Amino acid sequence: MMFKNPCAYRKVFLSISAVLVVVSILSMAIFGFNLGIDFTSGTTFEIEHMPEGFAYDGALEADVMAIVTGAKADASVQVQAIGADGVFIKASELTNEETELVVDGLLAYFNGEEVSLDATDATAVVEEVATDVVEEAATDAVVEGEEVEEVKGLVKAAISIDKVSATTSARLIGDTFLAVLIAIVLMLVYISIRFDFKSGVCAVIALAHDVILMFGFYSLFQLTMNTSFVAAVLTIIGYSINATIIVFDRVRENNRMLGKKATGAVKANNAITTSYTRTLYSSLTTLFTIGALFVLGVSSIQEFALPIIVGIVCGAYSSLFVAPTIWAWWKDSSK
Amino acid sequence: MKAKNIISFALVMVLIVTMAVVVFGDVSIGSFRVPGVLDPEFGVKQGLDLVGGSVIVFEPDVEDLSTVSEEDVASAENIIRVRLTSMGETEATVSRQGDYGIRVEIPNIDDPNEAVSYIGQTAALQFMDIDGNVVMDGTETYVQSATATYGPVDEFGKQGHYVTLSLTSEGRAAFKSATEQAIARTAEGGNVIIIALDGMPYSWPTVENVIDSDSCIITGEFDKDSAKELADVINSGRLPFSLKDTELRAVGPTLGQEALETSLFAALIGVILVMIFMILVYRLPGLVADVALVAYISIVCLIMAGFFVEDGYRVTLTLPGIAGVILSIGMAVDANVVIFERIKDELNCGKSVGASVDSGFKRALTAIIDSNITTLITCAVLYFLGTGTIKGFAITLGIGVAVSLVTAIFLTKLLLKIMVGFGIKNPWVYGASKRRDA
Repeated sequence: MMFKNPCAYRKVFLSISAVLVVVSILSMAIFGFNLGIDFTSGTTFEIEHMPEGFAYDGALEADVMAIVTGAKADASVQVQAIGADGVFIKASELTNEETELVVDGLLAYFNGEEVSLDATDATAVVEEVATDVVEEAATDAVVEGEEVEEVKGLVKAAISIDKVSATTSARLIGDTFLAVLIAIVLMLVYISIRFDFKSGVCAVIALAHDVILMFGFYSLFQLTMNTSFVAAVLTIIGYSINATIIVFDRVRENNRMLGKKATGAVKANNAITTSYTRTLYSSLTTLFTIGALFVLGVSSIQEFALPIIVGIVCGAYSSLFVAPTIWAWWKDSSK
Repeated sequence: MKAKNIISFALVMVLIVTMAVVVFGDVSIGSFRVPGVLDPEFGVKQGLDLVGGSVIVFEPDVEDLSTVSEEDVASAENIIRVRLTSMGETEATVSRQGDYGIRVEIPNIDDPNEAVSYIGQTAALQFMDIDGNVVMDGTETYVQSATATYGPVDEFGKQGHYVTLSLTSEGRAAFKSATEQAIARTAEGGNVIIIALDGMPYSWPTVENVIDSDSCIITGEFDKDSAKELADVINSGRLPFSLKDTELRAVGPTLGQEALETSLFAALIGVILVMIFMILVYRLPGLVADVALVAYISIVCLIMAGFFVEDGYRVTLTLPGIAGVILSIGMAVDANVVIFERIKDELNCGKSVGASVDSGFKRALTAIIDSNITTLITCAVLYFLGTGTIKGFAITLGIGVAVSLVTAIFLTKLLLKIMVGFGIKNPWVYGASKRRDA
């Protein structure tokens, strides 16, 4: 049976992984990524719930785009629906004044007012803002404990704005690569010390497998990648290694109990088959909690939960069928 | 033996229930109040993505950042503080990010753009007379520098903090005539020079005599920080740059509230699912693991609310932070799964329940420690290389992993041994595959 003697079916398991990895890499090469503003720089606006009477359709998309291009004529804009009644706008980096114009435009649009926007309004708005601030400062504008009023339309407080400048995003990409690299090297060192070098390499291969599939998944479905994706990848690096170590711990135990005569395949098979329930149960409990977040959470939480779910599934597979089978293969062929 | 078991069982349960009540309830005993973990003032500090607010990262708006000195950035940082205070944003925090970045976090602000344009503008520093007539400005034409100093402040040698103001020759001339005019108006209380930032009076030292010198000192009720702040404000008049916002993240208060509520609801559902699952799969040990899980969640919440440390060390809970905690709940039961699988193996080999529990824990220990240390390594990397929300995620996940090691190993072991001590020795109850006689 395939699952009773996984090392004998190494080719099957590794082929499945290889195909998935190749598809992922091809997708990355052909489709690339749908990078969020954390990586590309830009300004985004998010309205989680549009007021009643508004539904996401082509007309609304065009109207919203016009609001942004009205504020900055040469801005690149993408508009998409989020959730049941939300809208997400991603634009190239806007200045403070342009951002203000877009917010005003959105408020007017969703509250059913007539808007005419052109660039000459920009200065007027800035001046108005400046005087507002000074006035508020002078009259001490601290308002405490004020209840948020139930307003039917759209209020400023319901719009989330993100802006990332080009310098910041360039730094982020550098930091991310560094973080992943350092984490992987540290894992390799730790496992080589606590187990053996071969286990360390196999664990890192399984890890790379999981991370590549996560990237591939994001590329294939063109999901937006932001800092939360980076956090998710790093979480999975920890999680996947965690699962692999539980299996290798069984291998280590078998090394002691079965001695040198037993082949790597025998030890690995035993380790894999005795780890099935643990891997399944642990993955399930983690999926319960993270799955609940994905189903019930707001969009920024979903953005984080989805890659973790993908990573957990990949991690369960690779810790059972990738890392130990490669280890056994290597061990037995180097004898 | 039984009596001892009953006592320790009762003690453990009382401890766990007390913790859970402290964490999730809002207990009042007379005037003594223990606030719950969600109490906005004393509980977990909620990040801006939960309460709504803006994070803005400013950088000097110059071509080449290397021309900006450390003192300039420090000075700009203090200007931002002053401006936030004058806007009424007393809850706002200002910190440094990287070499040149200044990170400003303002809770509960509806209109971040307004704040950005106000905070980022070039500082306008002016010296005025009592009527608000500008006598000189704070540019380098007039002012050389201002430094906070500690030393004798009067002829009796009393020590104190004060600010030394160094002037250029033009500044000296302007200051001389200003102090002359001020002294002339002493009778009507006009002997002050107002130092104003952005047109708002910031400090108004009294003029004691005519000053005709390259430098003068401003004394008053200063401590080290306020002297430094005044010096920075004066120096800001010479800052050649305005600040630009390189990063802005604004979450509306209503959205933040929704994010918090849905996440907590999701956590509740997730935890209930995990608990039911553990009981179905492992029976009595599953129930014990559930009790340990309640303890785990309580301890994590207490740590994050700063219960064990001074107030300044409360963890700020962000949305990814909540995700980290919820994820760690799933991972916390992992240690129990590993242990219980081992116990089941031992039971199925025909060992007694007591012996199985002992060797199950012993054999699972190395795997649990090794696997958790690797997760902690990731947390450390995230903490040291990540910024903002990623850092928050690393902290909560790290706390979660560390606490789960304690509850999943020691607490479950203690409780299971008590169960065995109670004489509950049917292997089926402990998850063995077939009902056998003990």
